[in-house]
Amino acid sequence: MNTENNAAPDAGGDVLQIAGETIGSRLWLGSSLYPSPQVMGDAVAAATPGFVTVSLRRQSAAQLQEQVSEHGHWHLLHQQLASTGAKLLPNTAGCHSAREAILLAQMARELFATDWIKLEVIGDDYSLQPHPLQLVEAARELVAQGFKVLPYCTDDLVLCQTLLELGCAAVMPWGAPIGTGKGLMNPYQLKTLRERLPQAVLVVDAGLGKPSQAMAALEMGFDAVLLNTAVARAHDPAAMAGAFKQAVDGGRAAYRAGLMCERDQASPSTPTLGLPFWHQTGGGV
Amino acid sequence: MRLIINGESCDLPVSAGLSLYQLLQQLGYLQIRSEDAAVSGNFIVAVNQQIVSAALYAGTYLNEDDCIDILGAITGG
Repeated sequence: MNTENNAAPDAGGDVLQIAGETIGSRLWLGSSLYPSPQVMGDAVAAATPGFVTVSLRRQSAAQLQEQVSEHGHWHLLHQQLASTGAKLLPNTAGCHSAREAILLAQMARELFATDWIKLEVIGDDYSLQPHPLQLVEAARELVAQGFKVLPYCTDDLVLCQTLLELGCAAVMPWGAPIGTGKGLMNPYQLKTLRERLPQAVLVVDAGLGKPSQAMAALEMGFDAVLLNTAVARAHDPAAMAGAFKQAVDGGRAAYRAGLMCERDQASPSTPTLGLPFWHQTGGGV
Repeated sequence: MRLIINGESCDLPVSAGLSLYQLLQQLGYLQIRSEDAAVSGNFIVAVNQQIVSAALYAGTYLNEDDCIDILGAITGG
């Protein structure tokens, strides 16, 4: 069968493994921007994500007390992690240099008791485009320190190759700038990444606005998607989380099933042979 | 003694000899409680950008102009 991808579904199922750990879902969810901690908790419950991203910031004792109180973000998130089996993925959001990102990652490891880190080093405040050089420098050091590094990066092939060669557990190119909801802005390049890095774990991170865009990423062969705003800013975040979950599952199933190759010429689905007016000419009915 | 706590300059009515444990207690961090024991005490401290584990709070003495950062979990994307 001639299909768009040559994915050979493994007989043993379709388990996502990264750095030796099984990740329970291909939908990864951010925990920010929800109208309330309860709504965040409901969205996480509906998504049953593989990872939930979190961060860390300076806080007063009063702010910390609020976080861990019965209705606080951290308290509710902790409950959902326990019930869904999702893993925590701390990020280094807001860092602009390798030095900052390394220190924040170290603090995150202590605080959240995990080696996973979503490495984010911003190079441009307007587009929130990652800084490729600082990102590579930080990734090299964090991998050496035993972190499981998941870098948020651009879709540059050479950059992704370099990050993987350094030992990053996956690479996470953007679909579009963070929070824009523009979807997969450069599908050609994303397809190229999939084709040229067939063994790598690839995750579209950022820019997804609709479930159909997440589905497209999975159909393309991406292993997972990470998103936040599209769910958190929906009228009904829990319902949107459920919609993304279905889209991700559908996209993955389609990829594994083998998508047909696109072609320019029409081709009838129904056989014409055997029609009673086969080769009949003129005066049509 | 002057300390920089979470980026803000603070003059404390103490001389030398203040431990990190005492400071955190004064600021209320050690009194944070939750019904869920797993999320209590969920903060991390760095002195002059060096992480200090909880076991070392009492034995870490602060000096004039030390920078103390106390970070906790927040939501993130």
